[in-house]
Amino acid sequence: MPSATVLYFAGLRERVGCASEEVELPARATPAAILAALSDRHPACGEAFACCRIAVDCDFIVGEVDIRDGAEVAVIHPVSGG
Amino acid sequence: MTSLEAAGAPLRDARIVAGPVPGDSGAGIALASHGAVASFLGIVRDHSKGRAVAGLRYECYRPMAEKVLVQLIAETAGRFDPGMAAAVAHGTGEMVPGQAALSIHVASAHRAAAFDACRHLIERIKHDLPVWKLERYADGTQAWLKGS
Repeated sequence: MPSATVLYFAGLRERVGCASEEVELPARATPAAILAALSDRHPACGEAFACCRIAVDCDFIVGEVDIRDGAEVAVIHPVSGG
Repeated sequence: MTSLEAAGAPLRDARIVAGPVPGDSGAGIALASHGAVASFLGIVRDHSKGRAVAGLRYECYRPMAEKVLVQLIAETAGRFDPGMAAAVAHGTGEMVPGQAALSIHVASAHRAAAFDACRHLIERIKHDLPVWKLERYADGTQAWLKGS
């Protein structure tokens, strides 16, 4: 399985307890599958992950995509810019 | 900001800046063919849900934020006016009430497209730009906003 760098930001980073971590993910994955894998690692954050979107290499993903080794996978919880 | 009028190409400028956005970020975006410039500034408020706010900190996933801004400008131009010019900037880091965290300037041939494009950009930014706001309250506590 490819190893991706998973990024967390702001309040989610504080809740997870780290800004980034290396995680093995399936070579083909949906946002739901990625969030499920992350929830297994961080059971206390499952509820917070439920409202998150996933970006791979700076693009939001919707359906199933390829996860390459070294991919940057960002967990985007509800944003509050502007 | 460099004028591209000589080349005839409308300016498309998207940037993430340290601190508040500069006040002149929309200067000179209009081409000779543009009859309207609509601008929006997002200003740090001194209150939130009944609490006094002393300041904010904006955190950003910068490479994605820059990419998203470029994509949103292209999407907006495609929807409202392919010939529009736009300059969008979002600030990061610490700010105090009264400072501008976001500036959007849209130049178009006519006012309707300029207003509509400006409004579309702010709503899409609120939904998609990977930026998060930490509110610092006057009583010394602080909290991350949960969406907006």
